[in-house]
Amino acid sequence: MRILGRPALVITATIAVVWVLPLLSLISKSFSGDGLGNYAAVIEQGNVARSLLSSAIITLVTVFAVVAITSLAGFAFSQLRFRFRNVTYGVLLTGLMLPAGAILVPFSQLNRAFGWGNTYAAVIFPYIALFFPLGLLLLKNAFDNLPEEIFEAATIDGSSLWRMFRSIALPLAGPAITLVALWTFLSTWNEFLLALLFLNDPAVQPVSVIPLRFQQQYFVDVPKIFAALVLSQIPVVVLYIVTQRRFNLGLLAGVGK
Amino acid sequence: MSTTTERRRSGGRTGADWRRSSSAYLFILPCVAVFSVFLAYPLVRNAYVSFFEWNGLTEATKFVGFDNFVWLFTSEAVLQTSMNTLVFGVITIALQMGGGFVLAVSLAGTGRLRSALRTVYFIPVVLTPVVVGFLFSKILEPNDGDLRNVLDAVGLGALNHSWLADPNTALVTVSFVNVWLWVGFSMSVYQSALTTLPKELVEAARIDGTNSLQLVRHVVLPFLRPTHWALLTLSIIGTLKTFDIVYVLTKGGPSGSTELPTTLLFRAGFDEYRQGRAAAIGTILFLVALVLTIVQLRIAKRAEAKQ
Repeated sequence: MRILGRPALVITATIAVVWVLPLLSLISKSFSGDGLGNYAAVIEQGNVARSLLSSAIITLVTVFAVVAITSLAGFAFSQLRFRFRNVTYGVLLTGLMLPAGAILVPFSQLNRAFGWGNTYAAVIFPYIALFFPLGLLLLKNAFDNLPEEIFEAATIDGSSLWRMFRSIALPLAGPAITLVALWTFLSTWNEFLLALLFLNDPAVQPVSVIPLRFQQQYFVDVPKIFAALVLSQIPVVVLYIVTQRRFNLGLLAGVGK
Repeated sequence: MSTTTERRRSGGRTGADWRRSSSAYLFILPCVAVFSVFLAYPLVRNAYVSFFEWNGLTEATKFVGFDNFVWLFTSEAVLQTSMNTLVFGVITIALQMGGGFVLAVSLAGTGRLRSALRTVYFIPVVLTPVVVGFLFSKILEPNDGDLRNVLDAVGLGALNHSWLADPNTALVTVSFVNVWLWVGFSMSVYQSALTTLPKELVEAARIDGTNSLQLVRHVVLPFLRPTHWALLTLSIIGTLKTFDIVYVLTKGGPSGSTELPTTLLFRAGFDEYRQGRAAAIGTILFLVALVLTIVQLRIAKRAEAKQ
């Protein structure tokens, strides 16, 4: 439903220049000098394909794990009754307030203890830990909003707990699960600090550390750095454009509850 | 999961018995396990380390009691960082939420231009912050950056400035880049909430002869109150967590003018090799975020109850 008329639209369209120009600059910088040659050079010498693959593996494993563990726990915290339920839920949600930077050192000690140096696991487990609290919150809220009756009908059927979860609750939480998956995807793909510190071997480095790595490698050849940057952003932009309609961030309004 | 045994055990039960199944603990186990090992243990470990002097490289540690916390509450650098965080937080939260609200209201509804504009404003949200930081460091470059070239082209070359190198403008500049990055997020959250705005509410107001601005002020703004609170919570947490964009743009400089808690922590731990101090910063930062969030949720709940 439209709320404001044409003048507001014209103003926001004009201001949008401030958003469009930097984005165009990102692309045009990547073509300056050698044009497409910049892209050829970074693909050939820069290991960009390898980094894209690393990012894809790290991201997909993290997304799958977060969706799996938060849908299970979200269902339990929302629908089941057990001791220490509210306390446990509250404690898990404190994870929302934890900046990754605050626990870097213990993370690196854990990685050493588990022998995960320079492996995907070194970042995947911290990512799951850092990103699951928001997913848990969103999914618990989604399960809270399911109508009581759907479970009552299933109770008469004598459905098992697992079926209640898998066949009844889970399909109805679709939009929330999609949002959790998308948001976890973006958070993981774009994460920088842990990737920078825990993955030193270019063979396992994800794309988010490309700017820093390339600054050392290509030094002043800025267009080549930008070509690599554009390549690293294609997956997230495509993901957004394809899933735009499902990006229902309104579900985040539930954090106030 | 022990789904098969579960099925056998609870099959045929009636009533709300299934809600009390002890399998609930199995459902929460993965989250609890991940939390315990990768969040709770690091937090406790961090609190422990904050009582030591340790370079993070060797095993040698020295117990220093509350020294790191004394430093934390008396040092100039921490005071400056706190002030920076306040300024950065107020600018970003105000512009992000205010701007996001204005955009959502202006672009509400269907239409090709509206939806194209929503996409444009939202794109930065999905981009990697490090990439955006790197891009803006080139755009703001005082000698040959795009901003300078644009200013020159429109005859405003006199306004050119070393935005990021001048301690007086660096923090505001970093804040603006952060707003550029995140305003689409608030817009999108508001926009989703607006789709639930009852048509009758708007029509009734229009029949009463209210103009558009009054409509926004007296109908839309109050209707979105829960969204304002949710965004405020997320924005405060987000502000305290900000790292990437600042690290790439200024690394906290020049002379500490853009230092935020996470960059200060990084500097203490990994440039100065004072892990004890870094751990103390991390511990206090977490507690501050926790207290702010709890207080805020309380206020929000009370405000909602009054409605």
